[in-house]
Amino acid sequence: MISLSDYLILSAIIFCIGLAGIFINRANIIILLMCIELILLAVNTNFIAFSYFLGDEAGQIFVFFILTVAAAEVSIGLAILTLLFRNSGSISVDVISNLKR
Amino acid sequence: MINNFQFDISSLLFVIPEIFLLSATIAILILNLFLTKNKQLVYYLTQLVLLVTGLLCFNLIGETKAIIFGGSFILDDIALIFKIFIIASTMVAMTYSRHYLITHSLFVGEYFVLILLSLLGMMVMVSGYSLLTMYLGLEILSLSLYTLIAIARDRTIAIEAALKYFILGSISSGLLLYGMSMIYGVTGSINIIEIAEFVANTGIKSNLLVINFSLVFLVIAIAFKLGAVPFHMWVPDVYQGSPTSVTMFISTVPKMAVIAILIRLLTDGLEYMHIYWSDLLIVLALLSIAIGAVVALKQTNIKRMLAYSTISHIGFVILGFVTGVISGYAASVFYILVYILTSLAAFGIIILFNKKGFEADKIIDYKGFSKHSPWFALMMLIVMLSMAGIPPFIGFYSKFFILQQVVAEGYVFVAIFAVVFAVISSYYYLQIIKFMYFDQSEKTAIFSAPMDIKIVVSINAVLILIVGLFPDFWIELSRSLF
Repeated sequence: MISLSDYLILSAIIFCIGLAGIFINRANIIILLMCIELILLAVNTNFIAFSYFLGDEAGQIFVFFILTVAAAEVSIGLAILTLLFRNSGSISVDVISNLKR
Repeated sequence: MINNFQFDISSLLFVIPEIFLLSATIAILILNLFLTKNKQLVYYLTQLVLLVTGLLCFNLIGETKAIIFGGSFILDDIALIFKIFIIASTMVAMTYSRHYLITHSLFVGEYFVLILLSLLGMMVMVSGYSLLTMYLGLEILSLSLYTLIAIARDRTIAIEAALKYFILGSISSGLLLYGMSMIYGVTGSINIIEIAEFVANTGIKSNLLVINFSLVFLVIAIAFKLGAVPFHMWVPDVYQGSPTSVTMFISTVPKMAVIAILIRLLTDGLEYMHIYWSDLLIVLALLSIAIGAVVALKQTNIKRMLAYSTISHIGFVILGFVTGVISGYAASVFYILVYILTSLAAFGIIILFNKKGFEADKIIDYKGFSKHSPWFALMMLIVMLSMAGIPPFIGFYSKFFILQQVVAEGYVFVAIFAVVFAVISSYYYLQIIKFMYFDQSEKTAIFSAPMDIKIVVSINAVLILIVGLFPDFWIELSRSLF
């Protein structure tokens, strides 16, 4: 029997990988989008685990909404990425540093 | 909670404004496809939709507090007044935007549809009373805003701003969700009422650590959305990169919706955790006031300068919540209302100054402003003095009430710190006044702006003075909300 804490540790690890990926990654922006997806999946794992162990459906319903929003979010992210590529010919993270610090 | 959920058809009465707004937005989106020539019609329709939605909200004033849809949607005074104010500010922002959009060839129907959609998101946020509705409202708002920035498709800095906003906004949504999932795990509910009951009855004793853990995530996510230091990195870049009309929108209206979420989550849901979250908020508030004041000193771009000024104002708003008393929350709400009024006027004047191929976003562009347009220089003077917090303008009273509450609750050193940095921040507001009145300009600007925006800017700026002279009504209004 897998306990609740196992699920929580797994989701915490995925969450940290996602967060670390965003800050460490210097290669390209698609990886950033993947890391954002990872964060949302970690949250989903949390919700489903809690929902199962609490015997309450609200968490699972929440997950459906998160999945939908994640799909919308990534489509907008890719659309902006396409515009970036059209304007600067690259999707490297270094491209987005024109604004003055 | 889901099991005993009963759908009552009469509860639809309370969501009529949202339903109308959504249907009208979709209608405008479709209509926009067939209007290839006359895009002006889309603008007027949008204003009409905003007006009708505002009137529908106005119609609901006086209803008793209603919590509907199984506890996920609330309609109380806070929700109604916030909605009416959000709609009114959006109308003003749209009036200003039109001139900017025409001069910079961004006048497309999608712009207005996206504004309406983000407005829908804000209305859902303001009325959200479960974690799910809050999150969905926030996402409707954020996704529309990302797209709104990227509407200037061929400007590299706009795309860059959109991408930065998108990435940091997504991280903050992730953090918010993680905090929400932990809260759900501890309390077993996504309803604010049930969360509040749980925390009041059992939470503090047995689950303090987990609630505290999730609290940190929630506060960080809210700080991200508000742009409070140290989660402010996106604010200057996004403000500078976005088209000015979008900057104006982002910097004003959504802040109010996020404040509504803050009120629901922290002061309603986790009221008993006040001693814990006030410690977090005090750090955010003081850092925001300090960094916002100091870093703005060396900015040369007025949009960037206003971004740091926003950060500093947000610090004051958060300071009101630190007090943990109702009069403190009322002072915060009053501050955010005043901030929106002032900020709209500031961006309105910047947009007024715009011409074809001229963004008017450098501070030195305002040299000698008073020579060629004394009236609007006077308006800018009022706005800047109000932002600096000089009486009799309204910005003085908003700062005064926050500091009064903070001192009343015993945070004397916090108040001194805030005042010192407020004085420092007045330097860059006064610098603009100095440029406008005491410097000579090489070029003379001619306004190409239409009459309606000139009138609305004037009313907006004069209102800052009038409300400053008679602030009682607004203060009573914000007190009556809690």
